[in-house]
Amino acid sequence: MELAKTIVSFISSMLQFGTPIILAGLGGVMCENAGVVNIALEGIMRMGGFFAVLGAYMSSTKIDPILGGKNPLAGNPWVGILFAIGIGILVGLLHAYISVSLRGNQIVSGVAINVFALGGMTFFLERYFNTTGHSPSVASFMNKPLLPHLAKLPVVGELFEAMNIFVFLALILPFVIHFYLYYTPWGLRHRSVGEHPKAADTLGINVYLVRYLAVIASGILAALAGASMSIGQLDLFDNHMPAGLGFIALAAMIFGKWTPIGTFFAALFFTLATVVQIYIQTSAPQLLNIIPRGFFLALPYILTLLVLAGFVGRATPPAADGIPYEKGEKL
Amino acid sequence: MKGLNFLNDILVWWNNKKEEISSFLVPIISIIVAFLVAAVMIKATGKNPWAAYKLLFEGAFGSSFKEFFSLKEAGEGFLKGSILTLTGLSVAVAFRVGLFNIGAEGQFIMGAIVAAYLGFKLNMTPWIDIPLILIAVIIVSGLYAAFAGWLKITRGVHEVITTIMLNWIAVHLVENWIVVGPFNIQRYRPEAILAGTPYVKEASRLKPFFQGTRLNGSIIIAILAVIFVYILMNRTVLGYEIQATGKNPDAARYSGINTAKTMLVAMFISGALAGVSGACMILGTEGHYPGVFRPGYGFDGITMALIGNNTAIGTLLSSMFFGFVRAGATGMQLIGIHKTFADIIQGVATLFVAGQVGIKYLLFKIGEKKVIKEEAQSGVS
Repeated sequence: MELAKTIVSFISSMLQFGTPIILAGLGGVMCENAGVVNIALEGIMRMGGFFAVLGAYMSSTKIDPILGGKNPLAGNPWVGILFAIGIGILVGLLHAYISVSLRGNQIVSGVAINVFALGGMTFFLERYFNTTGHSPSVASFMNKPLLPHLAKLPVVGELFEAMNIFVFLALILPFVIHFYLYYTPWGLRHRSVGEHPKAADTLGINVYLVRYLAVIASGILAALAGASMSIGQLDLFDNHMPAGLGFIALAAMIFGKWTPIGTFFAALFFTLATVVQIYIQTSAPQLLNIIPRGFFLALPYILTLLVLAGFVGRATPPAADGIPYEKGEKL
Repeated sequence: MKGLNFLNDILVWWNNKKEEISSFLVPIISIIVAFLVAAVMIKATGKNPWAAYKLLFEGAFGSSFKEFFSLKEAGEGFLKGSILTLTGLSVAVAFRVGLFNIGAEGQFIMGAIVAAYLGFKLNMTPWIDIPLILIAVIIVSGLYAAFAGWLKITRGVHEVITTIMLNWIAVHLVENWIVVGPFNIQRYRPEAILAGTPYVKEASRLKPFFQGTRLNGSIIIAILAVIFVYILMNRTVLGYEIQATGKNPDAARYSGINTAKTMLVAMFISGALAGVSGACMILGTEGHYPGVFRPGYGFDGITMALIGNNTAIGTLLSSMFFGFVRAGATGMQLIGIHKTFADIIQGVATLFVAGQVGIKYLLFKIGEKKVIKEEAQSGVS
């Protein structure tokens, strides 16, 4: 019984920590399977995280009785999700415009979005909350299980207690996207655009449209990943967010060989390193003298490198990944 | 009709030179647009963009000529510009050989930690210490970058992914192992309350040139690096091979260039430059490797190289420009605009550089249409 409890609490913290990585990783899967590289995941997560908090804050109509001004806790977190989706669509459109319509350098565009997110969100944080540290606490999905009745169950209850809307999405979407990509005609079109856009174009598929939609979907997913950190795991936006999780998501996508379910398990595997490290820190800190903390934190990246180098399996990206497509271009 | 011919001459000249001209017109347009976009953002937050930019200017250059020449404010801009120049050159060299070195940040960190360690261990004279440290930094950071190049050549792994991974490996191993473990200050001085590594010995420090400024030897190192990269790219066989490999690797290989070796050497140089940048920060302003050290200059190097069009001089100019923007942004805090405002300008400018196909298209179109019109007219007459 003790063991079962430990395992359940392990899985539940893995799901919680893994949610942003899974969602952002799926964003990467959508984008890159259509042939557009998206290293802006980190930046879009940051924007999504901030705008989710902003949305939850703005939706509050009640006045704080003590401090005056808006009562940040009286808002509606669903508005936060809408805000995050909105900014995801906008940034996705921008990235798509540069990399699909202008045929610009996709990596440069991604770097630019990341740099902008870094300064821009600090700017907005100062503008709306007069701070550069973290926003005030807002209405959130923190500790709000989606299925509160199941949370009362013995042993497995903890699993459902941790499951808010974001964790639920992270559990469901990998399979939904898997079904979409491999079992629907739209999914076939989606992948064909990433593998061989010329052939897809010849068959009458609108390459630009598919790529636009894929990049926008990727923006939405990455923004939701950011929201899952700010109004899912916590109830505020911290200026350090997302602290490199966007890049871990990128690694998870590669480790999962550009497939949704692979990405899901890779993300969980990566969070295992984090959870084990936290577990050791709280219950056996002397072990950290032998294996330093940095090693656990670096492990996901080291493993991804090994996979990429072909020492552990082989990872091949979609054939046309990162290559802009020009209609009518002669090969 | 003489006037028209004159106009036509200009347009013909424009059409011949437009590639070259637009290569420096695009960054300038991008920066101007970035400042306009940022002004709209400032305006939208209810502040006065004009006042903000005035503060930015004064923060960067000082409010009078006297202050400018005493380097009180301007020294900071030159200092930041020097660090940016080094990481910018790092990314630029890799770009020229056709590789995208996003890992400048990781190589920067590796250089910084090596400099922090040796700076603490060595204690001779600056003329021996500093070159020794820089050589060690060049080797370590160079190899760290060359590893990504090696993976690309032998295993065909895209360098963007490997360098991102290597960045985070460096960050975590250095921050959560080396700095808190083997090199921690408390190992040497248990009474210390500071986080980070022990302080670098006096003999290894890059000291400020004079009182009242933080500007130090970094600028000399940066300028030497610019000269090095300029000569390498424009006057040496290796530079020629690097550019040939970057433009068309297949053609380069068939013409007898060992492209694999060229890529490795270029990545080594690239990493070395980023590492030297990190070393300059440790030996200069920081004095030791702090507990948390993520200044982001490695990532900024990418934007510097892009805006500087991947040339040595261009990178120097864009880095110095943004060095001053960063130094000046500190002054904007007076009216409640955080200093990361500089990132907004950088980000937006880079977005426009990324979409430069669009800007160029517009620039070219202006020329083309008119020339055709002129030609048609002269054909009639």
